[in-house]
Amino acid sequence: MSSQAETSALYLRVDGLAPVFAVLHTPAAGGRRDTAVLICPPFGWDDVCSYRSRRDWAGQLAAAGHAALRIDLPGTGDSGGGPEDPGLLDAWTEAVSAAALWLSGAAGTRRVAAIGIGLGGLLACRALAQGAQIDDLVLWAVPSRGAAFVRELRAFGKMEASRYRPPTPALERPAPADGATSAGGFLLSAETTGELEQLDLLELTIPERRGRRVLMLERDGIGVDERLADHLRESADDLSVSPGAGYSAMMAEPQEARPPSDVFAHVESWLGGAGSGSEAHERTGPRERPAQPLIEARGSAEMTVAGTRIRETPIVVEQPFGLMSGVLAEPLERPAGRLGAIFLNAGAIRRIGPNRMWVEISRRWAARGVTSLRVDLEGLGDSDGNAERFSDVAELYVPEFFDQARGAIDHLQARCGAQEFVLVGLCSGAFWSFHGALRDERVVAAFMVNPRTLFWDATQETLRYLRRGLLLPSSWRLIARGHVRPARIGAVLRRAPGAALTRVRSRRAGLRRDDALIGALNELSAAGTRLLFVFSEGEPLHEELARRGPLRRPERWPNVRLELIPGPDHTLRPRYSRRHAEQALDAALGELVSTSGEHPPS
Amino acid sequence: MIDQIRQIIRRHARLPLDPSELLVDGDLYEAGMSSHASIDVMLALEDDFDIEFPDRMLTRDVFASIATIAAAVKELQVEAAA
Repeated sequence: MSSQAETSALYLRVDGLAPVFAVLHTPAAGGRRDTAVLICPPFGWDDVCSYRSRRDWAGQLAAAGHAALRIDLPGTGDSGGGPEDPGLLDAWTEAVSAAALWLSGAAGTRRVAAIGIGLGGLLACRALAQGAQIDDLVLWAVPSRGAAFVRELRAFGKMEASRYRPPTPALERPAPADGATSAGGFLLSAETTGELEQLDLLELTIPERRGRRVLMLERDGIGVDERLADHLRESADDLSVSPGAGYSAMMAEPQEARPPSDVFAHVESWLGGAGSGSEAHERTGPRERPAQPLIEARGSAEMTVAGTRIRETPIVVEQPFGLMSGVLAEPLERPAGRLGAIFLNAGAIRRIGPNRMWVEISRRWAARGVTSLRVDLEGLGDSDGNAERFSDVAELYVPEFFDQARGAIDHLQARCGAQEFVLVGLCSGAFWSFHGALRDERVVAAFMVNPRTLFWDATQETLRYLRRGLLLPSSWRLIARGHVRPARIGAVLRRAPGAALTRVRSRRAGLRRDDALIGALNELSAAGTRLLFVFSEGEPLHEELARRGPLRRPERWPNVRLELIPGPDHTLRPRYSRRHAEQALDAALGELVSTSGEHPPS
Repeated sequence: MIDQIRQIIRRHARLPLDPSELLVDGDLYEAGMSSHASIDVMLALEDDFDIEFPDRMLTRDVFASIATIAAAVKELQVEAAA
């Protein structure tokens, strides 16, 4: 990304819509292009996986002179609202229309191109049919019918559900019978599912606009929807289809996802093609501007949570690596107290947390008077830094992350006056919550969901694979069951002596970690620091601690609470797991707040 | 058909190993294919073989191995030809 391009997070306010979180990438003054680009996101887990790629994409577009705007749809990401809000399909469509119109004005361009990925493409087309000021379209993995999108999501949910069977029939199943769709930890309500299933882009009339260009991208060899291509061709001067390599890599798990650089380059070149430059303005002429809703861009947004008003504000904190981003949730109807909460990244998932849990919890806590900050550490979410290093999980445990978490505490203290802090995290975020409590006396509580380790040791994961009968996740079990060819077996066997040695070393390291943990728990107990451990079923750290001893008798430490929740998923994707985890976190906060005597729990 | 399915798995299953190392009845999920990636595999199969998996086939069992996928594709092709 060009260092001259500027990035600013904001909220678009449109009457009748929840605040729309957006990030504007403004190109440097020289060499600005006359087409601004709106990036319309995919849904759910696709949104989570591709977030960093979309950030890179917008950055590269800005470096090439295109103002670029990324949005979170209402009820998703950092935008206001929730997945069960009524009228979401219309709200999403209006958000896309409003964002396109606002972008055109803010960037001062004559043309707006919308890049729509998955659901984002469906919405861009629907918005266009309703008169949105979108000139050109780039569609990636976009079907002509909403039913195809829902089918894909439902299939994902079904595949997942068969893996995560509810522990008891009484618990909610991932695919509720009421017509809602649940997949990847994200919910599409029955109403929204139904509306999307009725959406057929072929039945919509796309207004003709001179000079309109459409680029449809394949999906790593999966062809584009030909019916949609034919339909769009009727209203476009030019429609082309390109390979779209890299979709699958962009949608890999967040720590392994890779930006599709070939597509970035191709789209950039396509945007610079005929019909999108100043020449096109002469052909297009002045744009007709129908009556438009009032759209305001603001640096913060007020929201109502359980009948209580709060305010959210995107923040940046200067760090040695660049800018660290976050979103602050503050109480409006009561004074902020001494206690602040900081939510750390769950592995490589951006600040919204697993399944957007951090958004919903931080807003709830803000309504209870606890100022809360959702933060992105280096290389994650919207913060500067290299994201590709996280394919090595050790990079999530580098000591700089502690300094960055402390930087977030400093910021919250200086800005809101909070004096005491609770750190909340899942996986590596839980690890940093624990170390924050150990090393910063301002931290009075650490709420840790599914930490995989409390003292980082690269051999620990190897030992776990060995204990499960694996050297690599794909190796031993496959061999044992005769699933791989002989060449693969030879490759694995050659590693066996080293693996055995690793196992011995790891056992010793495990005992050292237990000693360190007991010492740390003693220390934190003496300091009165509260610790909440929340574990899903089958979490390896819980099994190890229970087997070896430290958490066998948690009553030794009155400051420690251990909650075991149903469901075997590390990131709490089954909704019943999530519900139990949220109850545990809310209850722990309630105890903390009531003990401090500042804010009675509401 | 098996080679064609292997190519699809190579492009879409996001496996940490080369699919040519897998036997036809090797478990793709054990090999590292996620539920999320299996949807890309499903869509690629539909595109390549000009079929559509009905709801009853949208299960992990159907996409568990090259062999189970091949069986499902054949079944759908026979149904379409009938």
